[in-house]
Amino acid sequence: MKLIPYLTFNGDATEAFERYAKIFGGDFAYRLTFGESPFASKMPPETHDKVMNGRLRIGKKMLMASDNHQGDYAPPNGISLSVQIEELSEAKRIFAELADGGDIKMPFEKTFWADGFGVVVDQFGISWMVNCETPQA
Amino acid sequence: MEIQPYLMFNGDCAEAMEFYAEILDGQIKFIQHFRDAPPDEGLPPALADKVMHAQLEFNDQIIMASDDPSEDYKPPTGINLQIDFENPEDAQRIFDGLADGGSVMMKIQPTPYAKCFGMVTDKFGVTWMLNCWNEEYA
Repeated sequence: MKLIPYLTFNGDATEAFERYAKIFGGDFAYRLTFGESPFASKMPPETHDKVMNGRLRIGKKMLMASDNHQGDYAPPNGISLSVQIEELSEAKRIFAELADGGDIKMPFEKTFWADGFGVVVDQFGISWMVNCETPQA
Repeated sequence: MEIQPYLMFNGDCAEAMEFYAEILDGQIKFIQHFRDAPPDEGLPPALADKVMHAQLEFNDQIIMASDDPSEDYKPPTGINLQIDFENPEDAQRIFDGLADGGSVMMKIQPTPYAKCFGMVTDKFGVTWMLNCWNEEYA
């Protein structure tokens, strides 16, 4: 049983996964478009270069993505991706890069549980909680 | 570095985590309520019994969650939780568990890619995709 957060994008899944691969040092290893799928003939031509299934590996975790193809995209709500990072400087860098073009909901700073914690919705609509806790002895 | 999904609930986070723990054969490793926060955080007393942070572990993976402290909870959309299975029987069993009281978006069935695939929004509002790939797509 492998748990995979499956993200929906508004036509920019490719750009989003390329960006995340850079930020996190991940591997955007697989991309199947609607045009390449067995459903291609049933899909409007403007969807053909959009992502039906994209796969990004970051460390042990796989993320998957699709572009919304029904024209009723709404930004994700009520579910975030939490990133645990041990190095404070690395956590700051990742937060800053996710925030570039995005919307900071909670600035990255010390909290009662973490050396650094912040919440940001990135330019692709995904909400990230970046958390840096000193491992307990 | 670890990446985990973080779910928001409408006051029923604890029940949801127990429901998932049972279905996924996992364990609630951590649960903390808003009343446990330092007093100088100034959290409203109405939140006291709500979950500030919880972690469910199953098969070496973690799902994090809390109750939404804001007053404008909306059911989660735009990120679903997919679980890939090695065999269709397990996918079917977990699908049935999550569908209890929930709403089936796509009945679990074979697709061009998968031995079986189904999609369900559970009674707490979280959408799951239960999947067992055909070998060539795994």
